[in-house]
Amino acid sequence: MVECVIAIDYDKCSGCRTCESICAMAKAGECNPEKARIRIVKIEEYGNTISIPVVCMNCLRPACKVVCPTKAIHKNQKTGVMVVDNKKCIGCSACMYACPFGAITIDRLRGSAFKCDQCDGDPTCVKVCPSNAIEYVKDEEVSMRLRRSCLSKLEGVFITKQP
Amino acid sequence: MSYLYAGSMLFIDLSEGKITRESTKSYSTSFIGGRGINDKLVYDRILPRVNALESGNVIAIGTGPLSGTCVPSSGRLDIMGKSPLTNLWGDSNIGGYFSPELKYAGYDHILITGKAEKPIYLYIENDRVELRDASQIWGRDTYETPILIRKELHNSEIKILCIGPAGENLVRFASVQSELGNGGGRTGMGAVMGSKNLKAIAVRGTKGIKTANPERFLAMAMELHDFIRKSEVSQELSKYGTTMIQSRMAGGGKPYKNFQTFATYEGSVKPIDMLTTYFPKKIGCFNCPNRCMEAYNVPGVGSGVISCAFYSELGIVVDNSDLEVCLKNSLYCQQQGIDVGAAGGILAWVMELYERGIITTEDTDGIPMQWGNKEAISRMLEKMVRREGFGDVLADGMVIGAKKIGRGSEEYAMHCKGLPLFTESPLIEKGKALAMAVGARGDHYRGNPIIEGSIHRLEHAGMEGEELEAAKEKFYRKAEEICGTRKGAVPNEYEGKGSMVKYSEDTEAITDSLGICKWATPRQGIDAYTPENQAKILSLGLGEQITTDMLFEAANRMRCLERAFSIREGLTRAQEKLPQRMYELVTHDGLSLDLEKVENMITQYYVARGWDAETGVPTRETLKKLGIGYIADDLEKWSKIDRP
Repeated sequence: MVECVIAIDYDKCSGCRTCESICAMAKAGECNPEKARIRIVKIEEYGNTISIPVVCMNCLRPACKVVCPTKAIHKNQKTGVMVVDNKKCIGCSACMYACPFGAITIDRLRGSAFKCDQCDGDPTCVKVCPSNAIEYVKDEEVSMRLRRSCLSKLEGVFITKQP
Repeated sequence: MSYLYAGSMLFIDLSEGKITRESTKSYSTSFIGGRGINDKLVYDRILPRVNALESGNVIAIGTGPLSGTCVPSSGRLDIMGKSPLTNLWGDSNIGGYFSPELKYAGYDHILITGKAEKPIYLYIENDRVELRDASQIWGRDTYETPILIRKELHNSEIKILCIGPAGENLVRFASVQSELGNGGGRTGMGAVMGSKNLKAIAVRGTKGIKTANPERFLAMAMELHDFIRKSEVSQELSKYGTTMIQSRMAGGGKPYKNFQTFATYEGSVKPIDMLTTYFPKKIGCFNCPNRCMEAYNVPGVGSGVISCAFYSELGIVVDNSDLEVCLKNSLYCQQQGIDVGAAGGILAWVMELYERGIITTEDTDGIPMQWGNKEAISRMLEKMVRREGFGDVLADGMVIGAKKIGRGSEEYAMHCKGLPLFTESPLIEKGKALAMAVGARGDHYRGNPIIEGSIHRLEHAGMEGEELEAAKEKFYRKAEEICGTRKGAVPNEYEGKGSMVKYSEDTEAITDSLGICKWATPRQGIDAYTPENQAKILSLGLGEQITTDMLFEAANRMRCLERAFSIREGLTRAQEKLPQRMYELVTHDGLSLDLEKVENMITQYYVARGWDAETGVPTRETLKKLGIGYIADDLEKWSKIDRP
């Protein structure tokens, strides 16, 4: 089992919501961001704008799983991501409240929870993100990248590039 | 439920406070959506020959069938009414996130009529539609207004379309602003909103848009996304954004100092300098791979988002090369809600009048309007927005302004039909000159032939000999297909341009009516949304066969309706002209325009459209053939068409 995550770089996100609209179409067959498994949240105030993609973070001790009264949330053995079993789910919203990121939504029409299932190991959103703000990588790579990005900020200070 | 369309249209009568709904169905077959359906609504529901700032005027707000869907660059909205600046057909197209949200709320179009007694705003949340008191937000700028509305309604997800103080003060070139950086400026729709006491439209929607073939629709959407992302133009736009365009504009042939001469490339700002100094981050519209806007946060200037035009319209044209001043003024225009292009054009006009001694500081309230005077630019902008002193004269635009100033000032006003020109030269590409002369709203942006522009770009792309000829061949062939002669593609030729402009106008009308962005079409050098692909994606979504012929016929229908609108309002051929100066200018490469040949092109264009070759009035036969024969009867009532 390869545990990969959808890694987010909000510095790169342009806020275009392409991931959202493509996800909703791919997973719910409808152009409707409300049904997307990945969401973009934004603040636009006084000329400043910040946008962040919100999606399942692949918690190792997932609160959603812990609180589920019907054991509808379980790990997909192939990808390692938590998935919702629609047959067992009773739509009680416990997981929705438990998720610290707001990455789980309740479909009020169908009466069950839905969340990102990483498209079974080949996430569609990652393919369309024009800014590469979301990438599908091994989880340990995320921290390595962050360390590298801190280092690159020091590069100009301590290392003088040769002409 | 209908596919692709949200299904219904909202009719808001502000005088009566009445809200009604109608199905989109009966309109969509003939007019597609967006600009198309707006054309029909505005023509039918406006009080003919009404003063544009009185309650008989209307505002139509329209999304297209592709708006809000998962196909790329699908966030456009069309705003239409009678223009207070030209007194003819007025229209502006705007990006951002409002259009998808309106569709998710369940509406394709909103038509606003009448006038509210006191300031109000329209709030739409799915089926809930209400007019709310706006006395608390009246007077606030377009950056504050959305924050206040979101706070009042306790909902951060609301998308807002609003006007600033300029619109409230009925500045005739006031814009309608949406998300940061997105504004519908041309033709002054903001003033129309202001005249109706309508401060803003706020919308939140949670419904979805259905398609007939979700799987195939998604597959094609993914293909289009991929195509745009990999195209050279998109990559450049995503990296340099509008900065790239600014520097291209600053290159050869950019009119300078109110079209008195042309700017040279030297001294212009390099894209990379601008990027690293001012614009660290790219911002995009709904579902768009291009991300052509830049966010900035500059000490002493402020924060905001800019897209095209700020540097040329508030920089080059008024001889101010200080970027920070440009940014500051651009931010001011956005916040107060005025059209940057019109404001810049008017400032340049005033500066030339001042230079020539036609006006003095006595006229300008003591402000010395010398070229490049940074303080003068900012102060005069402020006066325009507030309609203070000389600013009050300028706030009425060039036509009325010139009448008030007198003293031959009209001669130096660079406008077409009353719409101040963006600083783009019509000398190099003759089709552009024609598009400017016959342009529906006054400028060339809705119809300059993309093909001659492409040839012009290729000739300046550093290619030579056979390689260049091979690259040009594709465009020559396309021109031959459109107008029967390869000359149609040659920028400096007058032949065949009538049909070329018709073709370009039609492709733009199709794009505008679908609710997608022109910057993802061949117009901008991205071959994703070709007419064939537009027909294909529309067919997939609707589940019925749509052909390119059907799209082009609808486009022709729209253009005829727009024409009929302006004719009814009093447009004559005499108004379809470029400023006299265009015929006296010569570019650095020795190119110029010939008046007689331009007149010939105009006739060519009328004929290509099936309009009267002399007067440019759509003929009864043409209108009947397009299934809008009732327009001919209407024009007959106004003595514009003879009795059959």
